[in-house]
Amino acid sequence: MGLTATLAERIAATRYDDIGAVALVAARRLVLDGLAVAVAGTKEKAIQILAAHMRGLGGVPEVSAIGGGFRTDPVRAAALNGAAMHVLDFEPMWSPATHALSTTLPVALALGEAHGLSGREILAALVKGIEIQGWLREASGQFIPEQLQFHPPGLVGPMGAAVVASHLLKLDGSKLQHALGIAASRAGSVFSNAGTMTKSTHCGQAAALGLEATMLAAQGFTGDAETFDSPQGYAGTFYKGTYRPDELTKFGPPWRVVSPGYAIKMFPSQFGTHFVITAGLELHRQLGDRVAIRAVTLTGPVMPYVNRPAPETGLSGKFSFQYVLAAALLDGKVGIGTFTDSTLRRADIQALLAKIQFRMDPQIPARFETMHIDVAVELTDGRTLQARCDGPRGVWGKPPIPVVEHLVKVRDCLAVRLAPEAIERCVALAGSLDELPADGVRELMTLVRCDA
Amino acid sequence: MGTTSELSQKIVATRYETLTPQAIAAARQLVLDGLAIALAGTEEAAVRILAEHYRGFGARDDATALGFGFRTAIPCAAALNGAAMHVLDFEPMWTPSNHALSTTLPAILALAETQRVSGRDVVTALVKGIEIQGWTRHSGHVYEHGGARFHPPGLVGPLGSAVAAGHVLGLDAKAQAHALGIAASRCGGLLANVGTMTKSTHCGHAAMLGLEAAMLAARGFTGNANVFETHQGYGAVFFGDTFQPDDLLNFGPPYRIAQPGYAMKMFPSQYGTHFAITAGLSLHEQIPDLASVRAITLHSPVMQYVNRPFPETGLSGKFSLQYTMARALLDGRVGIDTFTDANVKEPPILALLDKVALKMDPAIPARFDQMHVEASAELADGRVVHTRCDGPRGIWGSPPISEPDHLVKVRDCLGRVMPEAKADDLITLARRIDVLDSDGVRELLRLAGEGRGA
Repeated sequence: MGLTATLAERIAATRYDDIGAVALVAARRLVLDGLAVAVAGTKEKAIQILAAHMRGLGGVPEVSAIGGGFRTDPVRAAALNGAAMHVLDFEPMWSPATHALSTTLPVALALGEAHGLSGREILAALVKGIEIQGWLREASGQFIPEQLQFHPPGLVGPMGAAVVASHLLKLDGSKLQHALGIAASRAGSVFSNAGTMTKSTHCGQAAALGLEATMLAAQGFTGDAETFDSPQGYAGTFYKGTYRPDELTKFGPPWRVVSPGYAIKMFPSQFGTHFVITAGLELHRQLGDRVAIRAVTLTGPVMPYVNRPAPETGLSGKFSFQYVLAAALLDGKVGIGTFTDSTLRRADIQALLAKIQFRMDPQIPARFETMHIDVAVELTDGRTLQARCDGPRGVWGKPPIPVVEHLVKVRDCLAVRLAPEAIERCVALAGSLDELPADGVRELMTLVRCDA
Repeated sequence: MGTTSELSQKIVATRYETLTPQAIAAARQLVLDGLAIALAGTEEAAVRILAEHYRGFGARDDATALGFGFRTAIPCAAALNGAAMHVLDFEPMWTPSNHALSTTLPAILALAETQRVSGRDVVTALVKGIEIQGWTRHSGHVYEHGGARFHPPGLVGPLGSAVAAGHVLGLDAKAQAHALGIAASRCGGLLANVGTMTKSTHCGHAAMLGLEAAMLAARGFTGNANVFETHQGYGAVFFGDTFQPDDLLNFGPPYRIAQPGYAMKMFPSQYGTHFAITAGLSLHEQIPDLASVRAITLHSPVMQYVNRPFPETGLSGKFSLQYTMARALLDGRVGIDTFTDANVKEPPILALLDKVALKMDPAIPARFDQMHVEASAELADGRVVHTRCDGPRGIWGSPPISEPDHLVKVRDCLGRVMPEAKADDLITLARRIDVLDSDGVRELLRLAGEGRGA
């Protein structure tokens, strides 16, 4: 039996009871984080355009558009909700790097709401969908940005979404093989769309098209059933020369949602920028509010896509080491408001940006797990202040973000669109997802729909 | 100015008035060919599953599902009609190889019932959508099959659809550049899915997602507006060092739809098999008694994905040099019914396939415009019958398929799903596409929409 068949059989055989308490805790927290960042994301222009587009298509009203105040068909809803969940770049980071939540949770919620499924099944599906994405990233043998041709969630996301949907639609291993083959033809997404509205659709489309692949396979539609074995299949096409197929056989406990787990994001920007922000905030404390800076030198790994000395939009600022450093130094905090077009145009930020030099050092590993950055601020009085960051709080190997602190982020995000009562109800429902019957899942989705 | 910006300006400046008569005539024939094969394609199981899937969304009835008697949302219609137009592998072939029609025409037609789209708009959008695909394929400088990583219509189709739909939606150059950036993130499509139902969705999804990219760009959605030349952009990701973005600036007259033009397909199968079929038909004429065949050797270029000695399904048979050659030899003809699941399992064909050996020769160029195949049949009396095909009828460099011959194909396709009188009406309208007003285009879609129903 080929690897694809073996893997598909194992995935199909994995049930809620196989997941275990620790992974369920991690998954519940992800659901809460995902819903919160998605609700906050719906105020972004990208999502408002997508919502108007999707609403105009008028699908059968089965699934809530988060923050949209309407319902549509599961595929459209997955596309929209996935983009909303990603657009702020506020969802958890994974190792190897990808965005595994916005590609999968919207699928689980869409089918949950449409088909009246329990919270348990949603959690089990989510754990499985994240699991396959993690092992696909490991199997790729491609870990640093310059090795990556495609944006990871666009590459592994459709497969994750297909696995989530196959759990909830109860596909057997054989049909799942076809679903994976179909989904493989939806994988892609060029990296250079980072910093544009399109980036969020990498996650949304992955969710939608992976879901669709599984819906089609359930009806007998065929794809290459050996996509992890075929020379021109998924691995042969995307991982040629670096493929480590044995990694895929590790699908299973202790589950990647737990080991190595995820890093909760406390800033809404690309994860590498969190290193820079952490150093910038430390320097801000040293500097106080009166900043008399002559020059700033930032030294980091080779990551050309976050080398943006003069970003033109707030969205692009999320991918600029220079911009986040300027904002952290000046404001002493970084939040959703940091990345608006109007903040970007602030005179003090623009003036400081002109003084920042970013030096990419090939000696520094370009992986989130092992990288670091150094910042040296030269003041007008001749003093030089320095800070180094080996990892933001909550990164792998450091203590995780405490639950209470995470709840502050969650409530902040939900408050972008929801009233206090609705916020508390959301937190309570998502916090007990594995005990929720279908009605509870639907109540949760109704709340985050944010009807006017 | 960057390549993508300059290209987008050229795209936007291309109007009906800048087209050549040859390009317009070619577009007319393509509209008719596309509609006919799409309607015939609606009989396939793959397309029926897709139709049920899209019908299930209960979306707005803005665009016609060809042949199924229902309407759906604009992107869904593009996806379904694109798959229907490709599923038989009966649409024209391009050079460098691609399926440029099923990725574009469905996107254009999907907009015609909510926008005022004249026949001239259809023709212009089609010429432009095909043009960008041709130059993108060319700019990659990958011509041999062995060099391809992705199925070409999945690779360049979304860009074609974004340009075709961009014309219909009246995008300015800036929005067109963003639409191309968005569409670049929808490109892909694995070669391993050739021979499965998924292959037809490479074209349908390209049509849908490129169209959606243009619709979003029209609303102000952004992508990388320098996507062809930028670091980690389209060229770098899909082609690497061989990609030469400046070649894209050849966009314009005489237009690729006319020069080098397309090869009209007369058999519903992968284009390389047309060489094998032509050879098989020649053997059929020369060997009256099939029982006398002891062994057949077929020499071809190295094209692993069409080396399928015993295809398991009809769809897979479309990608088998062995099966198509043997069928041509056995039946003396190759048509849509050659590729049913039942036919690939018939005892007489299995017996014949047992005698076929395929030899893939690295010395033969693996590109349609330069390849050839040779077949040698060894008979019981020791005689050897030999034939060689340097190109099926209608290939580049040989006389094109005549219009009467093409109409036979079109009538064959339409005859499967509609009565003759209705087929005549459809043919008459489609052959006048460039003079139809928007009501005329809608009338054409009404005729093509009903088909035989689901």
